[in-house]
Amino acid sequence: MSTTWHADPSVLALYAAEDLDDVRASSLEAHLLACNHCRRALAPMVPTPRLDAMWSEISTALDAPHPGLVEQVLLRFGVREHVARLLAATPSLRLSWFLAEAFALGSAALAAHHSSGTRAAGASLFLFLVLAALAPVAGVAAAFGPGVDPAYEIGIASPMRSDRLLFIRATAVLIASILIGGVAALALPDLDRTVALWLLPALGLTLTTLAVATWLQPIAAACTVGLGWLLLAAAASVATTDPLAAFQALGQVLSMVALLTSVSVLAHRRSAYEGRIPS
Amino acid sequence: MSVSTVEITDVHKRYGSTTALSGLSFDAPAGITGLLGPNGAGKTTLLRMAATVLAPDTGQLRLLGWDPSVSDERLAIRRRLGYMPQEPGFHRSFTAFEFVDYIAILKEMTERRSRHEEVRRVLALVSLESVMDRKIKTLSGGMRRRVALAQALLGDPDLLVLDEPTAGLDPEQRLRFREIVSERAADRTVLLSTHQTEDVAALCPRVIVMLDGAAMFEGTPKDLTDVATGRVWLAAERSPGARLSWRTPDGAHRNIGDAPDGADLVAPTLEDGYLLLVGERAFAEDEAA
Repeated sequence: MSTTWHADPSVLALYAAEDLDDVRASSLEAHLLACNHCRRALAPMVPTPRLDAMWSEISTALDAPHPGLVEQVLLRFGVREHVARLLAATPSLRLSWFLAEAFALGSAALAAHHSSGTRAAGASLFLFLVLAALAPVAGVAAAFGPGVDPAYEIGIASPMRSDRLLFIRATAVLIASILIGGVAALALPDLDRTVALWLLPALGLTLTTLAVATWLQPIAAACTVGLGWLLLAAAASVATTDPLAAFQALGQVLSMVALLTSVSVLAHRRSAYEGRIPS
Repeated sequence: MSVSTVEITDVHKRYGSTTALSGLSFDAPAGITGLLGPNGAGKTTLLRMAATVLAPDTGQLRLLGWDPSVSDERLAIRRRLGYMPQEPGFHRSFTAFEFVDYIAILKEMTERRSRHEEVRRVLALVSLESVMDRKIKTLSGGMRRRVALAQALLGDPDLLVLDEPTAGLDPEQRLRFREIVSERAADRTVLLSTHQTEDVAALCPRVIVMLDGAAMFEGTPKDLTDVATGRVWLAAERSPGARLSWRTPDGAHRNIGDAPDGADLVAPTLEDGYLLLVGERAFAEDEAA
C-alpha cells in the first residue's frame, strides 16, 4: 500500500528522537502503517541502542515461559510478576489444594443444609464453622517451612528474608481461604449472621499461628494453635450445650484479642524467623 | 600470602547423642577446597554451616569476612553465596527455567528481563538450554543435579558451597562441571564435598580429609598422595601386611599398608593416600575395640 504524500524528514527525525508532540506523533504513526517509503526513511534515524532494547524486550516476551494457572490468575489480579512466581511455589496455593478445601467446606455446608431442622443441625453447623476457621491455618502451615517447601534449604540460604516470604504467602493463602469459605457458606441453610461467624476466628487463629511461628516452625505452630483452639471450642460446646458457643460473642471478642495480640507479637518478633536458623 | 575467606574455629555440633562436628577448625583461602571423608564424617554438617542454614552449638565461623550468627552479616553473606545442597529439593511442577527463575527471585533479582537473561545463562552453563521448558519431574536425576548446580551459579557468587555436586553425573558431565567450577575459582571461594578422589585431584589445590567430625588432614592433593609413598605395592596375592588389597584387572593384587622388604612398590595415587589415612583410623578403632 502507498500514499500520495510523505512525511518531512525533520518530522521523522523528531519522531525518532521521541520529541514529536502526541497529536502529530499519532498522525504520523497512522501514516507509517500505510507508507513503505516513510518507514524506510525512518528506520536509519532510530538510535541503535533503542532498537536493540526493543528487540531484546520482544525476544524476552516471546521466550518467556507460559505461567501456570495459579500464576496466570495472580497476574490477572495485578500481582507483580516476581511475587506471582513466589506464590506459585507455595504448596497451599495449588489448584489441588483449593479443590480439596472447596470440597471439604462445600460438603460440610451441604451437610449443614440437609440437617437443618434436625437434631444434628447444630453439630453440622459447628463442623462447617470449625473447618472454615481452620482452613487458612492449615494453608499457612503448608505455605513455608522444612518438610512442606521442597526448596526450603536453598531458599533460606538466599537473601530473601524468611518473614517476608512467609507473610506474602500467608496473605495469599488467607485471601484464597476466605474466598472459598465465603462461597461455601452460601450453601448454609440460613443466610444470616451465622455465615460469617467463622471469619474473625479464622483471622485470629491465622495471625496467632504466625505469631507462634516466631518460636516454632510453621507446621508445629499451626498444629499447636489449631488443636488447642479445637479442644477449647469443643469444650465450650459441651459445657454450654450450645454447639456454636465458641463462635458467639465471647468467642468473637477473644478472637479479636488474639488477633491484636498476635499483630503486636509479630511487630516485635518478626526478625525471629530470620534468626531461628535450623539446628 | 592468601587471605582466608572461610574461617572455621573449634566448631562443635551434636544431633541428640550423635556428634557431627567435634572441634573442627580450618581456614580456606580463595580457590577450591575439597572435602573428602566417609559418610558420617561431618562434611554435610560443615557445608550447611558454610551455607548459613545451620548454626554451630559452639565455635566460630567467618565467611567472606562476616559472622553468619549476626543477622545483617548473614544477609551480606547470602547475597554473595551459591549453595547446592546434598539432596536439593525441587518444586517438581515447575519447569527447569521456572525453578531457577524462582531461586533468582529469592536472590533479589526482581527485574524480569535481566533475571531471565541470567537464568538462561546459568542453564546454558550446565548444558540444559534444550530442556529448560520441561517440567522438573520429567528430568533425569543427572539433569536435576545440573538444575541444582545452575541455581547455585546465579549471580556469579563469591562463595560457592557444593555438597557432592558430581554425584549422579556421567563422565562427560563431570568434566563439564570441572570446567565450570575451575573457571570461577580464580578469585572466588569454592567449598565442595565429594566421594570422588579424581575430582579432588583434578580440581582442588587444597584438600581436607574429615573423619568423626574433625579435620584429620589438610594439605595439597600431592601431600595426600605422599601419605602413601612407599606403602603401595603389587603382588601376586594379598600380602599379610596390607591394610587394603584388591585384585586389579591384569590379575595382580594392589596392596596398601606396610610394605614388606623387597616389595614391588608402585607410585601411589591420591585415592591410595586417602584410603590409607581413613583406613588407618578405622583399623585403629577396630583394634582398640
